Amino acid sequence: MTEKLTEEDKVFASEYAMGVLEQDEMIAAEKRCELDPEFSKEVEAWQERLLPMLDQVSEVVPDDRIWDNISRSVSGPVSEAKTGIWNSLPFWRGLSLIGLSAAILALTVVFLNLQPVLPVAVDKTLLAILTSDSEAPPFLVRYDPENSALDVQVQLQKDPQGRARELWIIPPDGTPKSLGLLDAGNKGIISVGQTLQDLMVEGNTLAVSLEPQGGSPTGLPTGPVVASGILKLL
Amino acid sequence: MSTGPDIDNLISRVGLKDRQALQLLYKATSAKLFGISIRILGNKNDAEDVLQEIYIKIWNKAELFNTGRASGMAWLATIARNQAIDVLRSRKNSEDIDNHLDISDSKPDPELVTLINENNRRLGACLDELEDQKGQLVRKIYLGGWSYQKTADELKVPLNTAKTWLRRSLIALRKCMDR
Repeated sequence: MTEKLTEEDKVFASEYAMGVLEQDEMIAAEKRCELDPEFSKEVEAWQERLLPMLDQVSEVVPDDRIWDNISRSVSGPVSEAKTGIWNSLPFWRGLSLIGLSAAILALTVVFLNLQPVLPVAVDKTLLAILTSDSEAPPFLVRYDPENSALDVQVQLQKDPQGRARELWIIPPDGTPKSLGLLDAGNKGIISVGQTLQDLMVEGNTLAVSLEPQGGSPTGLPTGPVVASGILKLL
Repeated sequence: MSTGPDIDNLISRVGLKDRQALQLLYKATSAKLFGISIRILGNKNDAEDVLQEIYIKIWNKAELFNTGRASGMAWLATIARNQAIDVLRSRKNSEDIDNHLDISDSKPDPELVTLINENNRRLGACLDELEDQKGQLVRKIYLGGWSYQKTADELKVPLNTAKTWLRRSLIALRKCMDR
C-alpha cells in the first residue's frame, strides 16, 4: 500500500532535486527513493522540471586521459567464462573473507547459474572448496550422490617435476582413500566406486597430494598435500 | 545536449554492459557533465576526478534506468550533480573555492543545442515570476549546488529564513509550471 505523499514529502523531494540538502539528508533521500516509488516519482518530476536551467551551463571538453581512466575502471570480465571466475584470485580472496558457509552459499548461486556438467540433484549435492597455502586459487569440487560422480572444476598447470595430483577422501578415522588422479589441464569427472561412496558425506575432507606419475604406489599419500577442503551439503 | 531518444537508448545499452555504448554516451554527454561539475566545484581538477566517478556510477547504475520515467538527460545530470555536490559538501569551509561565479553567466551559450520545449520556456517564465527577482538566485543555487547554509550565508540571513524562502519559492515554481 503506497501512502500519498504529504506536502512535506513533496518539499523534501524538491529540496533533494534542487541540491540544497546536506550529505546525511541526501543519503536519506536516496534511500527513500529506493524504498518509496511515489517519493521517487516526485523527485524525478522535480529533476525534469529544473533540468532546463542546465542550458546555461557551458560545455567543457574533458582531457582524453579522463576517458582512459574511466575505460580502465570499467574494463575487466563482465560475463565470466566458466574458467574466468574460478581462477580469479580476488574473487576467492573476497569469498574467504566472508567465511566458508557464506562462501558455499554464494557459490551455490553462481554455480546454479552455470551450465551443469552433470544432471544435479541439488538438494543432495555436496560441495567442497579446496584451498591451499600457496598463491594457487582455491577450486571447487562437486559431488553428485545420485550418479556417484565427482566434478572437479579446476585447471591445473603441469607440475614442473612431472608429478601427478591425486585426490583423496579422508573419513573421521583419518585414513585417506584415493579417489583417483586429477588430469592436468582439464576439468575431470571422476566416477566414485561403490566402496568409497559411503565416505562422500558432509564433514569428510577432500585433499589433493602430489604423487609420482601414475599415483601413489602405497595406497596412501606419499607426497605433500597441496589442497584440502571439507565436504558440505549444498 | 544531445537529443532525448538517442541518449535513452545508449543508457539502456550501457545497462546491458555494452562498453561501446558507454563510450558513445561519454562522447555525447561528457562535455555537459564536465561543465556541470566545474560549475559546482569551481575548478577543473576536482571536476576531473568527479567526472570519472560519474561515468563509473553511470556504468554501474544504468541497468536501473527506467525509460518510462525520467528522461536520459535528467538521469545523467542528476548523477553528475549529486556526485559533484557530495564532493562539495565534503570540503572543509576554508577550502571552498568561490570562483564559480566567473565560470558561467546567466546568458545561455549560443553554441549549445537548447532543449526547445514547453518545459524550458515554462521554467524560464516561472522563474521570472518569482517575487523579488528571486529567479536568478534560484538559478545560482541550483547550478552551484549551494546548500541551505551557503544560501543563508550568501543572502546574509538566518538559516531558517533561507529555508522558508526557498521552500516557498519551490512551491510557487511548481504551481506555476503545473498551470
